Amino acid sequence: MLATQQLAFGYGDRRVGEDVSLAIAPGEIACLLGPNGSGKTTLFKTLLGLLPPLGGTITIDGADITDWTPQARARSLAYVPQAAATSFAFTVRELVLMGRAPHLSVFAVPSKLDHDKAESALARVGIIDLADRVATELSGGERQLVLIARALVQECRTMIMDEPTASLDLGNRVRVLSQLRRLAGEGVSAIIATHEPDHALAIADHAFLLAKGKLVASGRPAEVITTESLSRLYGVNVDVIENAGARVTVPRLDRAGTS
Amino acid sequence: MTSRWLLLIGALAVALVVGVSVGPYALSIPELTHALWAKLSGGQIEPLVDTVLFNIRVPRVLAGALVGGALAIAGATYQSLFRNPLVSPDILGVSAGASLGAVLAIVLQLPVIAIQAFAFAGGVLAVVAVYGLGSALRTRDPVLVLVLAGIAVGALLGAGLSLLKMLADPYNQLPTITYWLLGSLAATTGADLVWMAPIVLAGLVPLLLLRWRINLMSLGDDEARALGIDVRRMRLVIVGAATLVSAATVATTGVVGWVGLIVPHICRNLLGSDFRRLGPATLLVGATFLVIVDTLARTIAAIEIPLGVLTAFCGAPFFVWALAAGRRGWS
Repeated sequence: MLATQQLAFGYGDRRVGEDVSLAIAPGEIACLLGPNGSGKTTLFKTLLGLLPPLGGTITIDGADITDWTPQARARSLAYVPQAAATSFAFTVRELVLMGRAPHLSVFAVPSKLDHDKAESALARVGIIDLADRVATELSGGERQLVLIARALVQECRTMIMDEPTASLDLGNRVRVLSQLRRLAGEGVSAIIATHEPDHALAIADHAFLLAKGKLVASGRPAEVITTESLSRLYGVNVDVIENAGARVTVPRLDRAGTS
Repeated sequence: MTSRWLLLIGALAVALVVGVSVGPYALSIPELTHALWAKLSGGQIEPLVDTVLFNIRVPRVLAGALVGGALAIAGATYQSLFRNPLVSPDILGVSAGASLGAVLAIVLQLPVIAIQAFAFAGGVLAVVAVYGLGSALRTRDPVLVLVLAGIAVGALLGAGLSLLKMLADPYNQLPTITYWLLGSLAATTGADLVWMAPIVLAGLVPLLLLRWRINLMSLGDDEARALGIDVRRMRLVIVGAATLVSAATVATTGVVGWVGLIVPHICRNLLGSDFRRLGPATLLVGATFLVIVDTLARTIAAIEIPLGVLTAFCGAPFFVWALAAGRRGWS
């Protein structure tokens, strides 16, 4: 269980957000919604230990992780960034293998066992065919799956994902989301920053709404993501409607554009 | 994959043999093997052969191999570290510092050993200054700050170098300075090899041991750290090792450009970007490349052509060709 208690975060003396308390249980998917600049990325950097917390605590199963080494942290939390191209043309296999780093000593190179684990992670997300392809030549959706496979190889318990479906086409979005749902069923939890309330409604167990660095709502997506809360969060008119048993958001484009 | 490695090792072996056999006093393969056998078994060697082979050519060819391999792996390392395939080993000012040190020693009319010591110290100090400056300026992009600090310090050192050239004696010192700045293995002796080799090895060992981790550094600070790497310490160790390697080589040969840029590029095309293969491959190809270029430098013309001139002559067109031919290895 990854949790924060009254977490304050930001860059040095510039406080971006505070009083954030959240918890993600094993096998749960949590979505973090908030407008640009609301502090989602800064919060994630703090969870990952890239920025020191400015107050409050981050715990894993009740243990404060503030003083954990990067290596210890990386065994529990994996970062899945947006699938940007890497500078160098690593193969998919080489890239996924890098997830073994927190489990190897500093001068070690990956063993046969590590290679096998990379292989099975590729199989688990269904991209074993891509193993020997050069990652820079893949589509955005395929690259995102590669990064998810890397997180699995890390044997993490929670994936921290910054807009994993941004800039993917519809097919790839659905592919990535259904992979995440399946992995959650296997016990891998995820906290996902997203700009798509529909994705939260579709796959999340929990939704958090972040505005100006503070949580303004948290709970089951169907309860938290409403016409009122979204309109207030983003400052535009959005309807949440029910269609064939699923909730979806529909923007209401009135003449003024804003409410 | 194994056949490619055998090819690389074979190419180096051929380059070494050709390197020691050609020259004003050519030696045939039987003569070479005979002399080598005699040397090892303590037999008689013709004095002229002994001098040419063991006092001049063997140290020079070995130094060429060491310098080429060292500059190439240092370049490949920095390219991973700075996430840019166009970075060369002197991005943090090692060449500028070494040049200033060497030129200072020349102007002060110090002996050769002092020129080398000043060059080595200058190279190391320049990188220490750049690194210190980069660490002191706390920003969100430490890598960019390091590069910019390298440019600033390099410019300062370049200005100092120009000033010293103005002050130098134009008849005795300026030719020496020019010659040094163009790089050459002509004056390399066995003694140079003896002091240079341990320093280069001290830098190579950590680079080779960290060969897999260097891959992770090329993902950028945030991703590398999220994968459990202590990026600040790792960067310090890598920069330290690469600086030892390049400062020691620059101090013995002067500034030899291009090797650290084109050799990693060739190796990426041959073997991909994984530093587990790229590191050792750049060592082999860099050694081969510089031994060949140095052999050309002392044989194609009546006078010896400076190495730096020839590496640029061979390197620049090749680089353009490689750019046009294909961009596998980086995006």
